[in-house]
Amino acid sequence: MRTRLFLFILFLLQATIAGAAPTRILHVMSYHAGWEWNKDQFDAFKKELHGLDVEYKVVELDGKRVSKEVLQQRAHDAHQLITSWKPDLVYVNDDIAQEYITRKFINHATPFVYSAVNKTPEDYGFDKAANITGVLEVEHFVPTLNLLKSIKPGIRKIAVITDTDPTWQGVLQRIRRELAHTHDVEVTEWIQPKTFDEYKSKVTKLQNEVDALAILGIFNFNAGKVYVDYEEVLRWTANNSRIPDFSFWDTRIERGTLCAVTVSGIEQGREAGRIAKQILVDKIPPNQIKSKATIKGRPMVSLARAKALSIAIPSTVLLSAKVIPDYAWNK
Amino acid sequence: MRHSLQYKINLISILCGIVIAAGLIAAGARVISDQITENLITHSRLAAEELVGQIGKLQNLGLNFDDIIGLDEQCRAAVAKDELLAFVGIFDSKKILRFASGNTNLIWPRGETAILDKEHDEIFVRTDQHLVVIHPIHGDDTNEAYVVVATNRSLLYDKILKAVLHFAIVAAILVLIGLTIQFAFLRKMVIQPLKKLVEAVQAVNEKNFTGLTSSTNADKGEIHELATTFANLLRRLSDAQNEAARQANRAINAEKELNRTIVQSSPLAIYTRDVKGLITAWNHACEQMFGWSAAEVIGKTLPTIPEGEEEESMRLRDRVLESTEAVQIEVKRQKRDGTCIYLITNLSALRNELGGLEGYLAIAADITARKAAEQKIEFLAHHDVLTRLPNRRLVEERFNLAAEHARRQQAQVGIVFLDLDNFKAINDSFGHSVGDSYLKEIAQRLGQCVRISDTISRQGGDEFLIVLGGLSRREDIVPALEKTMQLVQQPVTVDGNELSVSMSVGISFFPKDGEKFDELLKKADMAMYRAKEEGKNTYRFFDEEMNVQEINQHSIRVGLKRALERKEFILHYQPQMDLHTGAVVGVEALIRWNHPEQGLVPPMKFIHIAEESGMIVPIGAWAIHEACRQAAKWIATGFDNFSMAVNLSSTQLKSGDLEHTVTTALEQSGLPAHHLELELTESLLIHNVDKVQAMIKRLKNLGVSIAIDDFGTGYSSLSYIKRLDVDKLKIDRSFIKDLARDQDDTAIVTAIIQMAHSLKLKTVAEGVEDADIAAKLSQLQCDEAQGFYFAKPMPPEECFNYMTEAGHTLSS
Repeated sequence: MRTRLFLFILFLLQATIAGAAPTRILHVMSYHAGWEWNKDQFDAFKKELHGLDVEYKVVELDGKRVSKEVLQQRAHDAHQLITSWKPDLVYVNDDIAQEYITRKFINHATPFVYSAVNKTPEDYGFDKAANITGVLEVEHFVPTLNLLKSIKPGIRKIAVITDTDPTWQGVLQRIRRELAHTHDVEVTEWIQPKTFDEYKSKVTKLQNEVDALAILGIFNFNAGKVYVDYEEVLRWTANNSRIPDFSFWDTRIERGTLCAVTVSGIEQGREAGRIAKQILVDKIPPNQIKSKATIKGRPMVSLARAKALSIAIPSTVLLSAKVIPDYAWNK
Repeated sequence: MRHSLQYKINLISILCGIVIAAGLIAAGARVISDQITENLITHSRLAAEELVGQIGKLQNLGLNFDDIIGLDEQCRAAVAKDELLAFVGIFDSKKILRFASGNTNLIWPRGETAILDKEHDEIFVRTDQHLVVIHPIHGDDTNEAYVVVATNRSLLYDKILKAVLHFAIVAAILVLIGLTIQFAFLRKMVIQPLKKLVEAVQAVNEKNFTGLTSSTNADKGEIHELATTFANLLRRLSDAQNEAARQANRAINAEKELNRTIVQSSPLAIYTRDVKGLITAWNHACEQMFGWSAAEVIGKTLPTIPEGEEEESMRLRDRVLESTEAVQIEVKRQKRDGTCIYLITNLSALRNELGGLEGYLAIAADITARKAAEQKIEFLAHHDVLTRLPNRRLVEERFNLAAEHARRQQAQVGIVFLDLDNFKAINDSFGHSVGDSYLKEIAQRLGQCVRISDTISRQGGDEFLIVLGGLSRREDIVPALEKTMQLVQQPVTVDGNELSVSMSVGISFFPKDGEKFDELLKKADMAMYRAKEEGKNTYRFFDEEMNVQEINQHSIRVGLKRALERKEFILHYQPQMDLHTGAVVGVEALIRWNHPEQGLVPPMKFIHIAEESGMIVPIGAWAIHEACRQAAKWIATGFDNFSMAVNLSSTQLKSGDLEHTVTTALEQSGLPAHHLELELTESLLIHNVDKVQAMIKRLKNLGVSIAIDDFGTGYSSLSYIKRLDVDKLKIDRSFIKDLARDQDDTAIVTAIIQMAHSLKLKTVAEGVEDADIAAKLSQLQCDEAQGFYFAKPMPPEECFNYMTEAGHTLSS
């Protein structure tokens, strides 16, 4: 601890002597800055580096809303910026950015720190990179399942719905792995609808077939390839589905999904910030900092959704979880 | 029991330690109890507030209380989290238990209630088994609830007990340590130096005090200072004692000289005697008082003891010697010349400084003169000065002794009341000096008639009393009575006058007539009056009839006072006839008492009582007024040359108001004065001649006539009659009633008539009861007469009719 403090002070002195040049950090986000998920991670990251003179630049890939061509162009621009601007560190979050940016800079001189990555590091080859480390997003499937059962006992059959994004492959693998440890619940349907209509059709059909829905995908498309905001998808679900559902992210609960033990964007951003500080201040090489997985999840319930489903949530749940009293669209 | 200072200090310290420890434990127990209770309550409050917060959080989510489920978990969690909590529950607005950490059938807690927090209505309830905090959650009916958190009281008591026990042990140990330190300190700093000081004080003597200070040299503190101060004090005390002794010797010598001077110059006789009775001091006043010089009596016995009183003197000396206080006595002592004097003597024992007797001191004053005066006063208090006989006070004492003796012997005591008959005449005729000499002689004679054991007393005036004790029978007294009466009647010569009076005697007996002296005296007095009434010169024994008569007289006396107010008196009139013409020339007004119960009461029954009581004055005044009124009335009807005779009593004459009464009566009635005739008895004229003469003169000046009533029975001399300027003599009826037969009466009446006529006085004969007497009187030239022969006394109307119908009017 004393050593770290000494090095931090030394770093400040060096910075001052060197003409007070700020540390350059480039942040590449898979989505866009207006989304709470990205916003939570980046804010927590910056907060952890509070006190350092840092100059930030942000690249928004917006990978869910733009075409593949646009995405590739933005990734190319990002590569140019890394080369030209020479940031001291690149902070990259979510899987799209890993795919298009980070894996291109394996063993590059510039250190990379990632967060909210659903795939494994091996999937991207990060396990062999000396300059890349970060935070893996591990869903809390079993805790979420337990939360659901405490809200609505008697859950036996569930259906898992994702979109076709490759991100979900890692998620689904982990769910399957976790399911091996649960004996009273089985996933009877693994569904990946390609359009919103298909989604509606599947969900309607599942009303009498399963006890609950695991709604994981974003579903930002429709039959005519026109963008459908995920909020609209979830709003429809809340209005038309009469069975409990769950997910792993707070943004889903705010938009009508009944419950989740969420993986927190803030937690991941904060942890990524600590790793960045170790690299920048403590001068610890990234390959000496082991990647971390999200451990703590935060229970969340949608009280509005519970009321709509005529479910009385036990006080213990309400008091221990973050309760979202109303739908986001009603605010 | 004596204890050392160390023992006392240790004892006090231990007691103080016990008290302090007990106080500390008690105070600590209280604080601990309060703190633990407060702690439990705080725990309960915190748990309640946490639950309230959780419920509030749920309500903030938009949940009504009724919509909330599963709070039992929070209740259990609260109990699990805090081992002090026994129960956590949540009651709804109807106080029905909705959530609980355990048994859900519990009811609302009941017990002693107190408010913990007014702002939040937080309530503290002390039930039999729990301490309960109730925190309300306010809201509408659906949201109102109460969080109830209970702790076990047994747990509270266990905790308090343990804490107090720990505290007590600690306190006891601390006090014990403190006491040990204190004991050590006191032993070192106080006890040991004090012991050294005590040893030094014990070794100190008058001359050497240095050991005192050197004993405490090791200790330079207060004890050494005390020792030094004490040594200095002893030194100063020794000096002061020496000086005081010198001063005391001087004072004693001076006092001795002063005492000697005082003793020698004292006007009181002062002498001292040793325990053998030998005189050891004898001052100048003793020499003056008794006649012996100091040289003659020092070392000898007291020479002043009268012969025969030596033994009494020895007893007195012993009494003084035994007493711790001065004794004051009166004694009789003999002077050198043989005369005796009375002394008042203060005797005090003389003791040495060890309290041993050395003799006694006598201080005496001569009270011979005072003693003589006292004896004279004593004699005068019990004796009559004139006759030197016992007075009433003494005779009463003697009677009481005799009565007491008679009661034991079942005998009688005679009370003899003697009153000399007509003794007043001796005083009036020969003066009081002769009367006094006569009384002294009578007293002496009475002494010759009774036994030495009897008592003779003078009651006052001419009254004597003899108490005769030890009588077996009433008749036993008669010989002494007769002897007395006989001896008293024998003439006594005083200043050449030979005087003799008889005596009337009344006798009463103890116990037959009474047991009290006053009662017996009164009854003897009554009997004496009966003797007087029955002719005097005799004796009468009291009997109850006398008592009844006295009671009647008393009744009359009382009735007289009311009779005037009630107008019960009336006048009857008896005509007086002219013996030459047979005409009525006047009437005599005679009073009657018309008693409401007894009817007409004759004057003889009440006039003498009225005179005794003084009532005769207003009654007589009324009679004069009434007679004048009646006479004026009759005159107004045509009677003329007519007189109204009214009797006067001696009391009226002496009252001094008679002239005014007559004047007023005449004025008010309008009766011309010459029609009124006032009658005076002859006996009235004998006494107070000058005064009576002056009164008659004033009455005559008014114009009224004066008649002498009952003439011939008294002692009035003709010169008196002449000087009194009366108008008429009424010859007493005692000469009239036998006039026709008794030559003596004829001679007397003839003489009276002739004498009266020679003095130009008219004569009236009273008590004329028959024609012969009337004729005889006419023959003897008597002017007028009255009596039953002519007319009895009559009421006014009847008298008026008599005068009118009989034609006895002189108007023509």
